[in-house]
Amino acid sequence: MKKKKYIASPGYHLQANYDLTKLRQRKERMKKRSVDFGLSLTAMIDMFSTLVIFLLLNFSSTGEAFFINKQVTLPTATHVHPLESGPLISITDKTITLDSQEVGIKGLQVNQNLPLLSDALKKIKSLRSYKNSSQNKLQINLQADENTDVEKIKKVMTLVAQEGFSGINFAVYEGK
Amino acid sequence: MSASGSRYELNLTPYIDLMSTLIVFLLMTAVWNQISVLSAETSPSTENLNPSTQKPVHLSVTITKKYLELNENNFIKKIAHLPNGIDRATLAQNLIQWKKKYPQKTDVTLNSENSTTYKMMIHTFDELVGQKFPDVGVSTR
Repeated sequence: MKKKKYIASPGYHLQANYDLTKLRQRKERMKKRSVDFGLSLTAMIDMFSTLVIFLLLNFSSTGEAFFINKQVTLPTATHVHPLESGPLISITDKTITLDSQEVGIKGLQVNQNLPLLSDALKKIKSLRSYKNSSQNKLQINLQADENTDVEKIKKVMTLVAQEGFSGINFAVYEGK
Repeated sequence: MSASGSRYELNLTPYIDLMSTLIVFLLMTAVWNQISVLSAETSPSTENLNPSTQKPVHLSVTITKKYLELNENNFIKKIAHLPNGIDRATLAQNLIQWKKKYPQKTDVTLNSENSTTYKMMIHTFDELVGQKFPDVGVSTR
Protein backbone atom coordinates (compact mmCIF):
# COMPACT_ATOMS: atom_id res chain seq x y z
CA MET A 1 0.00 0.00 0.00
CA LYS A 2 1.28 3.41 -1.05
CA LYS A 3 1.84 5.85 1.76
CA LYS A 4 -0.18 9.04 1.40
CA LYS A 5 1.96 12.21 1.18
CA TYR A 6 0.55 15.05 3.18
CA ILE A 7 3.27 17.64 2.73
CA ALA A 8 4.26 18.68 -0.80
CA SER A 9 6.84 21.22 -1.94
CA PRO A 10 5.09 24.45 -3.21
CA GLY A 11 5.25 25.43 -6.89
CA TYR A 12 5.50 28.92 -8.44
CA HIS A 13 2.03 29.97 -7.43
CA LEU A 14 -0.37 28.20 -5.24
CA GLN A 15 -3.48 29.05 -7.28
CA ALA A 16 -1.97 28.69 -10.73
CA ASN A 17 -3.00 25.60 -12.62
CA TYR A 18 -0.22 26.14 -15.13
CA ASP A 19 3.07 27.84 -14.60
CA LEU A 20 3.30 30.31 -17.52
CA THR A 21 7.07 30.34 -17.48
CA LYS A 22 7.57 32.26 -20.69
CA LEU A 23 5.15 34.97 -19.68
CA ARG A 24 6.79 35.25 -16.28
CA GLN A 25 10.19 35.56 -17.88
CA ARG A 26 9.01 38.17 -20.35
CA LYS A 27 7.43 40.25 -17.58
CA GLU A 28 10.61 40.12 -15.61
CA ARG A 29 12.64 41.20 -18.64
CA MET A 30 10.25 44.14 -19.26
CA LYS A 31 10.81 45.37 -15.70
CA LYS A 32 14.51 45.68 -16.39
CA ARG A 33 14.01 47.46 -19.75
CA SER A 34 14.59 51.20 -20.08
CA VAL A 35 11.50 53.48 -19.82
CA ASP A 36 12.70 55.68 -22.72
CA PHE A 37 10.06 55.65 -25.48
CA GLY A 38 9.22 57.81 -28.46
CA LEU A 39 5.88 59.65 -28.87
CA SER A 40 4.18 58.81 -32.14
CA LEU A 41 3.35 62.10 -33.85
CA THR A 42 1.75 60.63 -36.95
CA ALA A 43 -1.81 60.82 -35.69
CA MET A 44 -1.38 64.37 -34.45
CA ILE A 45 0.11 65.55 -37.74
CA ASP A 46 -2.72 63.85 -39.65
CA MET A 47 -5.27 65.63 -37.50
CA PHE A 48 -3.49 68.99 -37.84
CA SER A 49 -3.30 68.67 -41.61
CA THR A 50 -6.99 67.79 -41.92
CA LEU A 51 -7.98 70.68 -39.66
CA VAL A 52 -5.82 73.17 -41.57
CA ILE A 53 -7.23 72.06 -44.93
CA PHE A 54 -10.81 72.31 -43.61
CA LEU A 55 -10.24 75.78 -42.13
CA LEU A 56 -8.45 77.02 -45.25
CA LEU A 57 -11.34 75.89 -47.43
CA ASN A 58 -13.80 77.74 -45.21
CA PHE A 59 -11.62 80.81 -44.86
CA SER A 60 -13.26 84.01 -45.96
CA SER A 61 -10.90 86.80 -46.96
CA THR A 62 -13.60 89.27 -48.01
CA GLY A 63 -13.99 90.87 -44.62
CA GLU A 64 -17.30 89.28 -43.90
CA ALA A 65 -16.50 88.87 -40.26
CA PHE A 66 -19.43 91.09 -39.47
CA PHE A 67 -19.54 93.09 -36.29
CA ILE A 68 -22.77 92.27 -34.50
CA ASN A 69 -23.67 94.41 -31.56
CA LYS A 70 -24.44 92.42 -28.42
CA GLN A 71 -27.71 94.30 -28.01
CA VAL A 72 -28.86 93.30 -31.48
CA THR A 73 -30.85 90.15 -32.19
CA LEU A 74 -31.23 89.85 -35.93
CA PRO A 75 -34.49 88.51 -37.37
CA THR A 76 -34.47 85.34 -39.44
CA ALA A 77 -35.41 85.02 -43.09
CA THR A 78 -35.45 82.23 -45.66
CA HIS A 79 -35.10 83.80 -49.11
CA VAL A 80 -31.80 85.55 -48.63
CA HIS A 81 -28.65 86.50 -50.54
CA PRO A 82 -25.07 86.16 -49.38
CA LEU A 83 -23.75 89.16 -47.54
CA GLU A 84 -21.60 91.57 -49.54
CA SER A 85 -18.88 93.65 -48.05
CA GLY A 86 -19.91 97.26 -47.50
CA PRO A 87 -20.52 99.96 -44.91
CA LEU A 88 -22.63 98.77 -42.00
CA ILE A 89 -25.18 100.84 -40.10
CA SER A 90 -26.21 99.32 -36.80
CA ILE A 91 -29.36 100.55 -35.08
CA THR A 92 -29.99 99.75 -31.43
CA ASP A 93 -32.29 101.26 -28.84
CA LYS A 94 -29.43 103.31 -27.45
CA THR A 95 -27.42 104.40 -30.43
CA ILE A 96 -26.71 104.28 -34.16
CA THR A 97 -23.28 103.27 -35.38
CA LEU A 98 -21.66 103.24 -38.79
CA ASP A 99 -18.84 100.68 -38.96
CA SER A 100 -18.52 100.69 -35.15
CA GLN A 101 -18.30 104.49 -35.06
CA GLU A 102 -21.12 106.18 -33.16
CA VAL A 103 -23.10 108.50 -35.43
CA GLY A 104 -26.46 108.76 -33.69
CA ILE A 105 -27.60 110.20 -30.41
CA LYS A 106 -29.50 108.42 -27.68
CA GLY A 107 -33.26 108.36 -28.10
CA LEU A 108 -33.57 109.06 -31.80
CA GLN A 109 -36.55 111.33 -32.48
CA VAL A 110 -38.56 111.50 -35.68
CA ASN A 111 -37.56 115.03 -36.58
CA GLN A 112 -34.02 114.71 -35.34
CA ASN A 113 -31.26 115.08 -37.90
CA LEU A 114 -28.24 112.83 -37.92
CA PRO A 115 -25.42 115.10 -39.06
CA LEU A 116 -22.66 112.66 -38.10
CA LEU A 117 -24.23 109.86 -40.11
CA SER A 118 -24.81 112.19 -43.03
CA ASP A 119 -21.16 113.33 -43.03
CA ALA A 120 -19.87 109.77 -42.73
CA LEU A 121 -22.03 108.64 -45.65
CA LYS A 122 -20.78 111.55 -47.77
CA LYS A 123 -17.19 110.49 -47.05
CA ILE A 124 -17.93 106.90 -48.01
CA LYS A 125 -19.63 108.04 -51.19
CA SER A 126 -16.69 110.23 -52.21
CA LEU A 127 -14.27 107.36 -51.54
CA ARG A 128 -16.35 104.99 -53.63
CA SER A 129 -16.54 107.44 -56.54
CA TYR A 130 -12.75 107.96 -56.24
CA LYS A 131 -12.33 104.22 -56.68
CA ASN A 132 -14.25 104.57 -59.97
CA SER A 133 -16.93 102.13 -59.01
CA SER A 134 -19.62 103.98 -60.93
CA GLN A 135 -20.81 100.77 -62.54
CA ASN A 136 -21.75 99.30 -59.21
CA LYS A 137 -24.61 100.93 -57.39
CA LEU A 138 -23.89 102.23 -53.93
CA GLN A 139 -25.09 99.80 -51.33
CA ILE A 140 -25.20 99.84 -47.60
CA ASN A 141 -25.75 97.09 -45.03
CA LEU A 142 -28.19 97.76 -42.24
CA GLN A 143 -28.65 95.74 -39.09
CA ALA A 144 -31.14 96.33 -36.32
CA ASP A 145 -32.66 94.48 -33.44
CA GLU A 146 -35.80 92.57 -34.40
CA ASN A 147 -37.90 94.61 -31.96
CA THR A 148 -36.70 97.99 -33.19
CA ASP A 149 -39.47 100.33 -34.29
CA VAL A 150 -39.68 100.69 -38.05
CA GLU A 151 -39.82 104.44 -37.49
CA LYS A 152 -36.08 104.48 -36.69
CA ILE A 153 -35.25 102.25 -39.65
CA LYS A 154 -37.20 104.51 -41.99
CA LYS A 155 -35.46 107.58 -40.62
CA VAL A 156 -32.04 106.08 -41.38
CA MET A 157 -33.20 104.74 -44.75
CA THR A 158 -34.42 108.19 -45.79
CA LEU A 159 -31.02 109.68 -44.96
CA VAL A 160 -29.20 106.89 -46.78
CA ALA A 161 -31.36 107.45 -49.89
CA GLN A 162 -30.77 111.20 -49.71
CA GLU A 163 -27.01 110.60 -49.72
CA GLY A 164 -27.30 108.64 -52.95
CA PHE A 165 -27.20 105.03 -51.75
CA SER A 166 -29.65 103.17 -53.94
CA GLY A 167 -29.50 99.74 -52.33
CA ILE A 168 -30.04 98.73 -48.74
CA ASN A 169 -29.21 95.23 -47.53
CA PHE A 170 -31.04 94.21 -44.38
CA ALA A 171 -28.85 91.86 -42.35
CA VAL A 172 -30.68 88.74 -41.21
CA TYR A 173 -29.88 85.27 -40.02
CA GLU A 174 -30.64 82.56 -42.52
CA GLY A 175 -33.20 80.16 -41.12
CA LYS A 176 -36.85 79.18 -40.93
CA MET B 1 18.02 54.53 -43.37
CA SER B 2 20.90 55.68 -45.57
CA ALA B 3 23.31 53.52 -47.54
CA SER B 4 25.96 53.90 -44.87
CA GLY B 5 23.52 52.50 -42.33
CA SER B 6 23.13 55.68 -40.27
CA ARG B 7 19.57 56.64 -39.35
CA TYR B 8 18.11 60.11 -39.99
CA GLU B 9 14.96 61.51 -38.42
CA LEU B 10 12.97 64.40 -39.83
CA ASN B 11 12.69 67.25 -37.33
CA LEU B 12 8.96 67.80 -36.96
CA THR B 13 9.09 70.64 -34.44
CA PRO B 14 8.90 73.57 -36.95
CA TYR B 15 6.15 71.78 -38.85
CA ILE B 16 4.05 71.34 -35.72
CA ASP B 17 4.73 74.98 -34.71
CA LEU B 18 3.59 76.22 -38.10
CA MET B 19 0.48 74.05 -38.05
CA SER B 20 -0.46 75.19 -34.55
CA THR B 21 -0.08 78.88 -35.47
CA LEU B 22 -2.08 78.40 -38.64
CA ILE B 23 -4.88 76.58 -36.84
CA VAL B 24 -5.14 79.26 -34.15
CA PHE B 25 -5.20 82.02 -36.79
CA LEU B 26 -7.81 80.29 -38.92
CA LEU B 27 -10.01 79.48 -35.94
CA MET B 28 -9.89 83.07 -34.74
CA THR B 29 -10.76 84.51 -38.15
CA ALA B 30 -13.41 81.92 -38.97
CA VAL B 31 -16.91 83.26 -39.60
CA TRP B 32 -19.28 81.21 -37.51
CA ASN B 33 -22.38 83.38 -37.83
CA GLN B 34 -23.85 82.93 -41.26
CA ILE B 35 -25.32 86.35 -41.86
CA SER B 36 -27.25 86.92 -45.05
CA VAL B 37 -29.15 89.86 -46.45
CA LEU B 38 -32.46 90.85 -47.96
CA SER B 39 -31.84 93.49 -50.60
CA ALA B 40 -34.20 96.40 -51.08
CA GLU B 41 -34.27 99.47 -53.25
CA THR B 42 -34.66 102.84 -51.60
CA SER B 43 -35.96 104.42 -54.77
CA PRO B 44 -39.56 103.70 -55.74
CA SER B 45 -39.83 100.41 -57.56
CA THR B 46 -40.11 100.71 -61.31
CA GLU B 47 -43.20 99.45 -63.03
CA ASN B 48 -42.70 96.93 -65.79
CA LEU B 49 -42.73 98.74 -69.06
CA ASN B 50 -45.38 96.90 -71.00
CA PRO B 51 -45.77 97.92 -74.65
CA SER B 52 -49.44 97.10 -74.51
CA THR B 53 -51.96 99.69 -73.47
CA GLN B 54 -52.90 97.81 -70.32
CA LYS B 55 -53.39 99.87 -67.23
CA PRO B 56 -50.33 99.53 -64.96
CA VAL B 57 -51.03 97.44 -61.88
CA HIS B 58 -49.94 98.69 -58.52
CA LEU B 59 -49.43 96.13 -55.77
CA SER B 60 -48.52 97.11 -52.26
CA VAL B 61 -48.46 95.59 -48.80
CA THR B 62 -48.85 97.76 -45.73
CA ILE B 63 -47.98 96.52 -42.26
CA THR B 64 -50.03 98.00 -39.46
CA LYS B 65 -49.97 97.13 -35.81
CA LYS B 66 -53.05 94.86 -36.05
CA TYR B 67 -53.17 93.59 -39.63
CA LEU B 68 -51.54 93.43 -43.04
CA GLU B 69 -53.18 95.44 -45.77
CA LEU B 70 -52.85 94.06 -49.28
CA ASN B 71 -53.58 96.70 -51.90
CA GLU B 72 -54.27 95.63 -55.46
CA ASN B 73 -55.19 98.67 -57.53
CA ASN B 74 -57.00 100.21 -54.58
CA PHE B 75 -58.78 96.97 -53.78
CA ILE B 76 -57.79 96.39 -50.18
CA LYS B 77 -57.69 93.11 -48.31
CA LYS B 78 -56.81 92.85 -44.64
CA ILE B 79 -55.06 89.94 -42.92
CA ALA B 80 -55.14 90.04 -39.13
CA HIS B 81 -51.91 89.29 -37.27
CA LEU B 82 -51.46 86.11 -35.27
CA PRO B 83 -50.41 86.36 -31.59
CA ASN B 84 -46.81 85.52 -32.55
CA GLY B 85 -46.55 87.85 -35.53
CA ILE B 86 -47.81 88.19 -39.05
CA ASP B 87 -49.97 85.48 -40.64
CA ARG B 88 -47.43 84.26 -43.16
CA ALA B 89 -49.54 81.37 -44.47
CA THR B 90 -52.48 83.59 -45.44
CA LEU B 91 -50.14 86.21 -46.86
CA ALA B 92 -48.46 83.52 -48.98
CA GLN B 93 -51.83 82.31 -50.32
CA ASN B 94 -52.77 85.85 -51.36
CA LEU B 95 -49.40 86.45 -52.96
CA ILE B 96 -49.74 83.22 -54.95
CA GLN B 97 -53.08 84.50 -56.25
CA TRP B 98 -51.43 87.80 -57.22
CA LYS B 99 -48.69 85.92 -59.04
CA LYS B 100 -51.25 83.86 -60.98
CA LYS B 101 -53.07 87.04 -61.92
CA TYR B 102 -49.97 89.05 -62.82
CA PRO B 103 -47.20 86.58 -63.73
CA GLN B 104 -44.95 89.30 -65.23
CA LYS B 105 -45.15 91.48 -62.15
CA THR B 106 -42.10 91.31 -59.90
CA ASP B 107 -42.31 94.55 -57.93
CA VAL B 108 -44.30 95.28 -54.81
CA THR B 109 -44.17 98.29 -52.54
CA LEU B 110 -43.80 97.55 -48.85
CA ASN B 111 -45.18 100.18 -46.48
CA SER B 112 -45.12 99.96 -42.74
CA GLU B 113 -46.58 101.96 -39.91
CA ASN B 114 -44.12 103.55 -37.51
CA SER B 115 -45.35 101.49 -34.58
CA THR B 116 -44.55 98.16 -36.23
CA THR B 117 -41.31 96.30 -35.63
CA TYR B 118 -38.34 95.49 -37.84
CA LYS B 119 -39.08 91.77 -37.40
CA MET B 120 -42.55 92.15 -38.95
CA MET B 121 -41.10 94.10 -41.84
CA ILE B 122 -38.43 91.47 -42.51
CA HIS B 123 -40.92 88.58 -42.33
CA THR B 124 -43.26 90.29 -44.80
CA PHE B 125 -40.32 91.16 -47.03
CA ASP B 126 -39.13 87.54 -46.88
CA GLU B 127 -42.56 86.24 -47.85
CA LEU B 128 -42.75 88.63 -50.81
CA VAL B 129 -39.35 87.50 -52.11
CA GLY B 130 -40.33 83.88 -51.53
CA GLN B 131 -43.49 84.27 -53.65
CA LYS B 132 -41.47 85.58 -56.61
CA PHE B 133 -41.80 89.30 -56.04
CA PRO B 134 -38.08 90.00 -55.71
CA ASP B 135 -38.19 93.74 -56.49
CA VAL B 136 -39.44 94.97 -53.17
CA GLY B 137 -39.42 98.71 -52.74
CA VAL B 138 -39.45 99.66 -49.08
CA SER B 139 -41.30 102.91 -48.60
CA THR B 140 -39.75 105.34 -46.14
CA ARG B 141 -42.90 107.44 -45.76
